[in-house]
Amino acid sequence: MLNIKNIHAQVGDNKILKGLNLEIKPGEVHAIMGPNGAGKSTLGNVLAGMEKVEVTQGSVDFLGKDLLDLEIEQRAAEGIFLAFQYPVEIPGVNNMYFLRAALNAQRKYRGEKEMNSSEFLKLVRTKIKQMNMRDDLLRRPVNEGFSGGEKKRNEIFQMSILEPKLAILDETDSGLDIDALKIVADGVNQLRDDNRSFIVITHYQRLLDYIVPDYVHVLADGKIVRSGDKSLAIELEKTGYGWLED
Amino acid sequence: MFKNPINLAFEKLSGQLDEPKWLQQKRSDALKKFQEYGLPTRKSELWKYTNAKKLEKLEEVTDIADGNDYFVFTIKGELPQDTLMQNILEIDEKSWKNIKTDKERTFVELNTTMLNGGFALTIPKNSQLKLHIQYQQVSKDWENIRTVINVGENAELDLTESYDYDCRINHVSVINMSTDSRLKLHSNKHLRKTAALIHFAQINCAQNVSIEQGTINNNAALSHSITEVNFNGQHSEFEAASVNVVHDSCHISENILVNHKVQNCKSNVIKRSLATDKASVALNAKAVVYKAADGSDVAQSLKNILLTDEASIYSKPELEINTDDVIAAHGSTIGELDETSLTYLRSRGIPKEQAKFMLIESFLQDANIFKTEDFLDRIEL
Ligand SMILES: Nc1ncnc2c1ncn2[C@@H]1O[C@H](COP(=O)(O)OP(=O)(O)O)[C@@H](O)[C@H]1O
Ligand SMILES: [Mg+2]
Repeated sequence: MLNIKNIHAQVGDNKILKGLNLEIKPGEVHAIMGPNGAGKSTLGNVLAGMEKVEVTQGSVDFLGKDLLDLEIEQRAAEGIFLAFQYPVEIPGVNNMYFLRAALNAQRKYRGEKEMNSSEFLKLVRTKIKQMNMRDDLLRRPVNEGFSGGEKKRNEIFQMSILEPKLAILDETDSGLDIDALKIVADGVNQLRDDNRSFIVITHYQRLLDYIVPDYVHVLADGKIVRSGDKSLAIELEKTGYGWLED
Repeated sequence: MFKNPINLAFEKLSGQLDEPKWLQQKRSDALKKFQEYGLPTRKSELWKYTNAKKLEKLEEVTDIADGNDYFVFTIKGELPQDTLMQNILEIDEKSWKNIKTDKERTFVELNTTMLNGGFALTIPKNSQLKLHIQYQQVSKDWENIRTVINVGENAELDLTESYDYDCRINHVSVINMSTDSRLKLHSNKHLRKTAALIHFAQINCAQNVSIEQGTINNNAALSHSITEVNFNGQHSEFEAASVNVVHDSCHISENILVNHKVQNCKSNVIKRSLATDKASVALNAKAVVYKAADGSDVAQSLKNILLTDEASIYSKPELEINTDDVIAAHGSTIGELDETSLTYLRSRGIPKEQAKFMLIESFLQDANIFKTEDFLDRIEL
């Protein structure tokens, strides 16, 4: 589904990704761990199409399409979803209005029928229940005045409405207490199926107790330096990243 | 509109009109003053970023209203008994209010000189009135209109004012608010890109008055307004929110002066402006708190967005405070659309243009003082 080949990317003159390769098949969950500043968020940004990151070399194939050739919004409509490490507050734009606009824009892009407000409301109601979201948050402007945890949950809620094919969660677990963490993990697990894949970027193997990954990768200095299964995460929790220095 | 033509027009006017001597005198006094002041130049604070010369090069009016009425009244609901309506050209001298002018307010003098029509409306105490006034362009020339509205004690007026799309109007309006009276003022200045509107408004407040004003300024070759609010009695409140949206080479200048002359009054001025193409906006919001006006509460919030490199916005909030016991807050920002927010919306699949539009809408909604549903529909974005 996703095939990243030899990606080099930089922000300004700062070279961040230095020849990264990764292949993800439908239904797989890949965890990405690694020290601060390794380039984990940058990888997410490259996939989602953030304009401040410049890809200088390499290719990304997503479901047969050249992902790097698409605009941010086209990638979203093709099925890429990035849950931001730092979700943005947008005062004045109502959450529900925003989400419906997003869903309908994606449906339109794919040639599907747009949802009217009552259909959308029905969808939201079911998802809210599944996600244990407080519904008053949805009536507020996007992320405005939300706590850190609420913002992260809102990202997952958006994901559950938009039903992407590939979701990238960028440290969605940091700053969450155990209850919120379970809700986030639940949200992900409910969406897990044979066709949908996940990249879970995290610092802690704690999250991986709830979202059990098929693969764990260590990203350091812009490359994937080790890959393994879930036991690698447990090992990393014990050893840390000190061994990277050698 | 100016020097020589005006002499001619004036002589013609005074020869033809059957009107009281005092009014003729006012006209000729005003003409002298206008000639003394001349056209506003960039040396005048309120015209610094507005090119008055543009008024001499306006395109011809294309759309003229049927009939000779300078305004159309639509009364919603009932007209209170004892409501008094007079033609401005037929009022008695005592009811005429002289307006203090200076170089900045030179068009007030021109308005008096050339006065075509207008009214004096008095709304009786304890009554309620909901009214829509449409100011009409009935000729190819400038229409000089003067209106006086007196809102009686404990009376309530809900007034919507709008102007013909393709207007050349010089409007002087005076609103006198009696004790305990309330005003909701909706000003719709949605104009053609070739239109011109000069508006001077004076609002005088007695005690315990409450005013909410919502203004939409949209386009015009040149639209210039000066609003003067005078707090003459305590515990009065004035809240005004305006939206300025300009395209092409349109220009809007909005100037407001709030005089806190007495204690315990509250004013809040909100402006949200958006300029694209080569359009420009010039804003002055000034509040003066007089020496004895303790307990005043003054707020100004001016936010501006430039959508192109060639658009320009000048935005100046100003507080002049001459006493200690005052609550004051003011701010002015000029920027572009927030790139991070834009990216966030796009990352969820919303196309760039639509995402921009959503951010613009939310920006302007701050100035939707009456929280009307169709607020944005009335603006040409
Ligand atoms: N927008 C940016 N501007 C400048 N430097 C950046 C930017 N984004 C990331 N970087 C730099 O790139 C490196 C990798 O960052 P990031 O991908 O956020 O790492 P991680 O998510 O693994 O902690 C860091 O050194 C960071 O300072
Ligand atoms: Mg990061």
